[in-house]
Amino acid sequence: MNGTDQLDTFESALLTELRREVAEHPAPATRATTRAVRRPKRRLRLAAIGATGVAASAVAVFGLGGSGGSPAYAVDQSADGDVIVTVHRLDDAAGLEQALADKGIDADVSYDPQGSPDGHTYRIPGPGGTGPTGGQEGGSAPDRDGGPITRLGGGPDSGAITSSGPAFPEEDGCGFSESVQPPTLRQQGGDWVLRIPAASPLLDGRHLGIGTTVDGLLSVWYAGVEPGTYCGVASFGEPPA
Amino acid sequence: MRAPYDPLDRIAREPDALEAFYRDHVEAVQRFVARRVSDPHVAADLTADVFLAAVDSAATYDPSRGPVVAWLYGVGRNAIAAEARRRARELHAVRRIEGRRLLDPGSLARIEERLDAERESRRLYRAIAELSAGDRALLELVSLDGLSVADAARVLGVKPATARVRLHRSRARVTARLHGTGAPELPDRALPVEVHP
Repeated sequence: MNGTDQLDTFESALLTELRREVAEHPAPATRATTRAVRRPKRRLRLAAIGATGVAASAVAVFGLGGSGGSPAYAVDQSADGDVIVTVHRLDDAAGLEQALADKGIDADVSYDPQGSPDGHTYRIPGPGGTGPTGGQEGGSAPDRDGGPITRLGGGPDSGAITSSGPAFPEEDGCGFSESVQPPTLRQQGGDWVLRIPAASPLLDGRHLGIGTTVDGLLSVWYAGVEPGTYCGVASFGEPPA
Repeated sequence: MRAPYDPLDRIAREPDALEAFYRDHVEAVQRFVARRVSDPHVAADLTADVFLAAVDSAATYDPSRGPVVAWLYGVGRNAIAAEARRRARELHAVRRIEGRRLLDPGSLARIEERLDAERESRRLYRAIAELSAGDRALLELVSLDGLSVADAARVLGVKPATARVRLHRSRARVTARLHGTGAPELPDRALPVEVHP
């Protein structure tokens, strides 16, 4: 250990206060055998390690989907070979993963419960990408100046948010070009529709990921051409106000 | 050689053991805090909070579950989460030690230097805030704080294999957030790494 010999004024003052705290309120001695016994906490109580609050609380308001047994997703193939994935509810991730595998798509689908008790399902945000309305606790609301967030197309009136346009420059690190178009993701009513073009490398074993953001939006990403790189857009739609 | 604070619960009873522990970790804790908050007064308060929380929960440290610094980062995460909840509710809880009260201009300048140095890390921290709570905790400890995957998994109580899968997924998401498309993967370990072996 490389202890700090030189403390600045603040560090010294804090050390003095901490020493006094321990001297005035020493914890009772514990033996190794009793270490597992939890002694009562002093004034400053700690949060449970799983309850890392903050971001987690943003989504928990979604509640049960309540769509009573209807399928959570559909995987279809159009006449021209495009694979169309419709997500009605963020539920049965394993089922969707298997359905995609049946189409030759190596996918990893995970709808994290985002800190709520296991087993909850979430409703898809409505048209226009309105997210959950729950309170985001202060302090860690994502700071939007953190870097470019790719947010694509779709007018406010269209009710659909589309990844149109040159989402990927030329023949880029994602392997898309004029002739090989990237997949698109649209919000259609309460559903998400992911369309993977027939020529897409995603139908040829490129790894695909489908998940959610803390905003409760669907996110889609996929492996880039170079190993270790990823493409895709973390979220479509606007985060909750 | 045994550290003067071995076993760790000595820091909750013996001021000298606490001092040795403090001197060994005060820089790491202040950097840990600087990767998360940008206000020097809040940083000073949180530094005090993290050490107090360490004293309070020293008896929970189990050496077989990883190095002290990994445990300390876990404690620090909880202390900072508690502070965020306090601020969210605008509770003005009385602190046992109010770090900001101990600041003088020279110390303030040093804290600000640390905050400057960690600017990029905070950008990463904000991007990580997009993840679910569990994924976020894991990625923070590995990519931001430089813990090994195994140690971070122990801090969070998940299996190392599970942790690796979740990290893989989280990195993809955060990278998409930070760079849009086609960005390189996040490093396995953040720079700078301040883990003491």
